[in-house]
Amino acid sequence: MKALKSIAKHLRVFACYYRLNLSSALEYRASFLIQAFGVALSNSSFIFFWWIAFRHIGGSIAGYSFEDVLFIWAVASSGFGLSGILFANTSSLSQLIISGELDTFLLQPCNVLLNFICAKTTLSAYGDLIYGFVIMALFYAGNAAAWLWFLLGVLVQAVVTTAIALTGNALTFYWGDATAVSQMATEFAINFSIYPEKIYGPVVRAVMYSLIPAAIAVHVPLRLFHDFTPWVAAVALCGAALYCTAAGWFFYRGLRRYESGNMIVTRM
Amino acid sequence: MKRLWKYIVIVRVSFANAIAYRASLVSRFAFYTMFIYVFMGLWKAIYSEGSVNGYGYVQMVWYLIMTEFISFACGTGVFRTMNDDVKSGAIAYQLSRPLHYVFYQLANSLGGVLLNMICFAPLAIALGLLLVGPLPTLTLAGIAPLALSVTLGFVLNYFFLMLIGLSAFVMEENFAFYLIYQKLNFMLGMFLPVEFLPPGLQTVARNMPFSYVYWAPAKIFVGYTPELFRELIPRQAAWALVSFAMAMLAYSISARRLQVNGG
Repeated sequence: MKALKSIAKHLRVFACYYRLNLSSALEYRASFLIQAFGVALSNSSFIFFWWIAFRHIGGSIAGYSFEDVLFIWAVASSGFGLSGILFANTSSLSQLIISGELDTFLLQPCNVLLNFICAKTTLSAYGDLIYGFVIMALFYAGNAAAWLWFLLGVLVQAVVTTAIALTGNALTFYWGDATAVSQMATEFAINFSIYPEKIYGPVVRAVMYSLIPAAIAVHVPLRLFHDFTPWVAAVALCGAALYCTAAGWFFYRGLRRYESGNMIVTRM
Repeated sequence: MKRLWKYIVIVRVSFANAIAYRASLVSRFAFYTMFIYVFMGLWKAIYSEGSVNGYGYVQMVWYLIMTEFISFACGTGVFRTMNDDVKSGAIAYQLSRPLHYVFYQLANSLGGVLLNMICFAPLAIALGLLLVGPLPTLTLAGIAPLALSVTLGFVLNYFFLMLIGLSAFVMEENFAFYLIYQKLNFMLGMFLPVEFLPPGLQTVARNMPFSYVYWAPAKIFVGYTPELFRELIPRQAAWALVSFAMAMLAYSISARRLQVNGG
């Protein structure tokens, strides 16, 4: 009963953060729309690249058809977008640790990790989120199976991406400023998600399924969409859950090393 | 000469600044290497499925090494600096200095660009040699035209970024313009040579300035001929001149419309 109450309380906090973040985003409507449009346009340029490449080659590239590339792009874009909308503060962790601003989140009667990662949103992430849905609506409109794996992939991608950023940033607890490492991990995750996995060598592919498991959320759903195998789906979901749990453990272990900067901060 | 000396001093100071913050180069080296590795894998897969006329696989990888080199070494964040200056009100101090604002920004960017070029050139060459071996079409006669083309590409790119920066004087937010400009560059030469585009688009691309930032230098690099030089360099020079004139005109108009709060 106590556990249920705690879950309900944290869900309320989560919903409250989302509401506040959205209303603060909508306060600067023009900026919000311009950034969302800019990101959608930016993503479209990559589709243009693929269209040209397939126009020359036809058939498939590294085992992926043009529609397959669009599918991984849709999952990757919407997954990153959802992560940016709900958990954007994850990428600020390094700076918060260095400046000692994490104190604010430690003092509140709420789960530290949830409280901290939900505290910010990225305006452009809405463009990413919508872009994936537009791609799906244009190319997979009547395909229920594709939509099922797309939606599942987006949810997994959102949490796995957040976990990757959290792990990279939490290194700051141990090493000092790890901003560059976490940015690199995120950049790797993006690149692992938007190109056919066979273009990478075996070592990089091993990293794509372990250290930076971006492939679990993007390439596995595509495989399952084409050829559903229950044990592959189960292993992928368990792998994603295990990685997220490990990221949380790594964060809390690092948190014990955190030293307050005694900084007085006002959260507006 | 005295007027020029001021700007030379600014280049020297910005070069010293860039050296002081050289640690940031390490992560940029990693990003550069990652992009080349990803695109090498991608083009390897594309070439294994069929041939792409006009460019061999080795040429294509070197082409991307050159376009990414221009992007990493010659790119500047001048539009972002200008946007921040307008928002913070710091622009008031910049404009009141005894320097021309446009040339001051150019001199201030040159230091970082010079250091980037010195540092990224050996990395680019090493990556190319390691991943695909030497470029068979490279000739000694092509080196000087390449240097000229890269310089013109930098000038063209710089003044377009300056134009985007100047839009902050009127709009206060210029990031969306940058994204549009960046993606036009991506599509018209940076990721794909212009020859890969459908015929109609090729004509459009050849008549627009964006292809002359990345495509022209990279094309001269991987397939230099005197005919190519005569075809591309005058167009690059003309567009560089147009972009400079547009930046100067935009500055004279927008500086009059600028409103600064606080200070």
